[in-house]
Amino acid sequence: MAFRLPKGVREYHDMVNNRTDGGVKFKYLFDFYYLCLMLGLDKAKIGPKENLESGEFVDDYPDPYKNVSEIVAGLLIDAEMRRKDIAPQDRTRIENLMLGIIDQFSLTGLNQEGLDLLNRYAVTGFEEIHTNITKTSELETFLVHYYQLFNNQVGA
Amino acid sequence: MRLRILSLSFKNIRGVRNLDISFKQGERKPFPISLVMMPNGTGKTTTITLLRAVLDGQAATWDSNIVREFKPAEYDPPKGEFSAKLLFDNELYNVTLILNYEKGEAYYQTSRVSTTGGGLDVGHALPPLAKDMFQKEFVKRFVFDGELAKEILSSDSDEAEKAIKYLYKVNRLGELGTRIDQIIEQIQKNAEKSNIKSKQALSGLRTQLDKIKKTLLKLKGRQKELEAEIGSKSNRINNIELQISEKIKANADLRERAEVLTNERNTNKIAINAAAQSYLEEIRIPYNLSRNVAERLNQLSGKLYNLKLPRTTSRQFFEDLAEQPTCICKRPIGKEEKEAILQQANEYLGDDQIGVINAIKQAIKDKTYNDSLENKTNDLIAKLDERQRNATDWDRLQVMLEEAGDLEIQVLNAEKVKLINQVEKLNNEYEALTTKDKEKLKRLIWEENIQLCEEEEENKKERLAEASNTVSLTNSSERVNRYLKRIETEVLKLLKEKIRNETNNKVGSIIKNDTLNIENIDGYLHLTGKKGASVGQTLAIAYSYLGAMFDNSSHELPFVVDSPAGALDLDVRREVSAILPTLFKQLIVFITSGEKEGFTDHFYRLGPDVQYLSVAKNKDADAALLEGVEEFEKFQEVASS
Repeated sequence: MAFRLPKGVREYHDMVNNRTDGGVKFKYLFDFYYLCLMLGLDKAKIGPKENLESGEFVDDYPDPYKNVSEIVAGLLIDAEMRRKDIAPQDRTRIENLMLGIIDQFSLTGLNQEGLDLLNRYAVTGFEEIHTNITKTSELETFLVHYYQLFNNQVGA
Repeated sequence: MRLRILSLSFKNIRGVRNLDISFKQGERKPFPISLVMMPNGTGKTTTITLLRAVLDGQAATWDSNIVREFKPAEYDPPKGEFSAKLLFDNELYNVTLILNYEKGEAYYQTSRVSTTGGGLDVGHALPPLAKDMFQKEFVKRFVFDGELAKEILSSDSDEAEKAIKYLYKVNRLGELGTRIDQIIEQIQKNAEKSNIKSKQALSGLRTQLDKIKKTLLKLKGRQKELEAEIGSKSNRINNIELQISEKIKANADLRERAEVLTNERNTNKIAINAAAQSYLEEIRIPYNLSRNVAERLNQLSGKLYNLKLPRTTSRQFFEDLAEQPTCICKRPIGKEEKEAILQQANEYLGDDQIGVINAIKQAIKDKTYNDSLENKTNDLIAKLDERQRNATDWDRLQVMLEEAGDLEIQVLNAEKVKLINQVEKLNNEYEALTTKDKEKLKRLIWEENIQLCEEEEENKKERLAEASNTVSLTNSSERVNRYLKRIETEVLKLLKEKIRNETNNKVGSIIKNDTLNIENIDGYLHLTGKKGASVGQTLAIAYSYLGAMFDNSSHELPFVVDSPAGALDLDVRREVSAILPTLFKQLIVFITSGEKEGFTDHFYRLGPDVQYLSVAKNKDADAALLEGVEEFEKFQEVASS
């Protein structure tokens, strides 16, 4: 049970992390995964499993993300509710949705189904990034474009 | 395993001709440190080569020209011999390399003296563990010369990583994988032979697979070439920019403005880095990304509260209740009631499930958006704009110089433009070669992209496996290979980190006037913030690295080094001489008299554990061995010839 990267993420990530001009780089590969994930959850759209790398890249949140793991789980529940069009007063469906993705014994708090969904949301997020943000080695430029994309300021 | 070298013996070998060198301090104990002064031309390189051959057993493969190269020039003996007395743990081995100059052949004899008896063996008969470990590439790492030190830090080499793989035998995992593939291939070939009807089809598939493999090899080779070419052209572009910058600063009219712009650029760069770093930390908080995210979290929190999710009563409550004689309403609980309660209990969540959902509910509650990230974005945009303005102003200075008729700037600029175009073309080729982007892959063919070529190889292998009825065997072998690869990766990662840390400790305690830190080991040693090091620092780092590597190994091996300080500055020689004795349990150093200064001073202070030997070359006679520090100190090459 682990996080898997959307195919193509490494090229974007590596472009930044191979920069030689002394600029800031990603500290974790997970940072880029997280950015893809947030965008995908925002869109409430999952991508195909085939667009994920076959191997896993981490099986738990890196340290800086451990205290947001429950928030991510919350965003996942929210995204799934929107994606499946679950009415806010439908107690049973919401409860079943939550039970279907949580695992009290796993490192991430999510079961395989939950992690698979996160990974597929990341696929969508990466497609958004890939379509709207030109690959660059400058992390500072990438982050600005990402924020603008996330807040629908593309082209601003 | 513990190895010590007790003595070396030369018979009819060029340079020294006939000579015995003993490193013994006690009967079965060598000096911890032996310094051997050997003038150039006496045979330092020969000694290193022959010692390596005695350990790795490779001399049997030498051709006649190589064998005859060891014949003394002054006379014509039919054969020569080089022996080494080696102590493997407590067992004494005498390995002799016999060089038959007449036939141009080399062969070995090994004699051993052990507690359980000895013997004389024809051949290179080291203890099994040593025989297995002392491959040619591995032996070079402890019978060492300065060239290998450079490779450890060179970006054109993966020497540093290879050294770890060989010492800890991680390379054996890859070899095992290759062997498995060979076995599968053989089985498939046998299947081809046994079935005449499908023979042609199978043979055709195999030819196609071979072609794909060749192409894949070619593509990966081209990837390395492109990386090197892009790297070197990019370096040249950087150099040109530096030269242009120097030219601008050298111009009296432009100097002041250039300095202002340079300072602004540096300040801006620091500011951008700080801003980007802080931005990256802030962006990890999801509800700061946008108002929508914070609102959704709050809405979800509200929904869960309103719906009273999770239900507060847990399954455990009902399970416990079912065991009681009476219900909380005081009515008795009989068998029927118990069954009904337990059945309905499954509709409720377990305690721990409730805990997880409550944790989520708590975490998403009252999350307010704050515009800190928005402000940081604006700030970063402003700084990037400033950077762009600075770059434009700088370009303007360059144009001013060109317009003033500075030919050199024009030439440099022209070269820079040409290189930028070339790098762009190379990058495009590299992108096509290495991309895994599914959209881009649609426009490429397998002959020009590594990912597609690998997929084509997989497809062909599957078809071949199906055709030769070896599908499940192939699948199993692939699974094993994947596990081996994963083990190799994980083991290497752990080893590299451990060795990196220890090397940094050793380097830090020795090189005090510069901060040299190994950032990671990826093929070669990557230094933090530096592309390379001075010659002396390179050697210091290489020795620390080798010392750390061998420290962590369960084997204790001697370190034999030829010209460890080479043509180095005095203070650098002192650095290197201080490191070496701390790194290895037995150290044998071959130096020339010209390398003494600055290098040997440290050893004189180490007391009786250091052995001093001087090899004096005599014209038309055997070399002579002089022992003792006095002879060593006054030994000069001129006097010896």
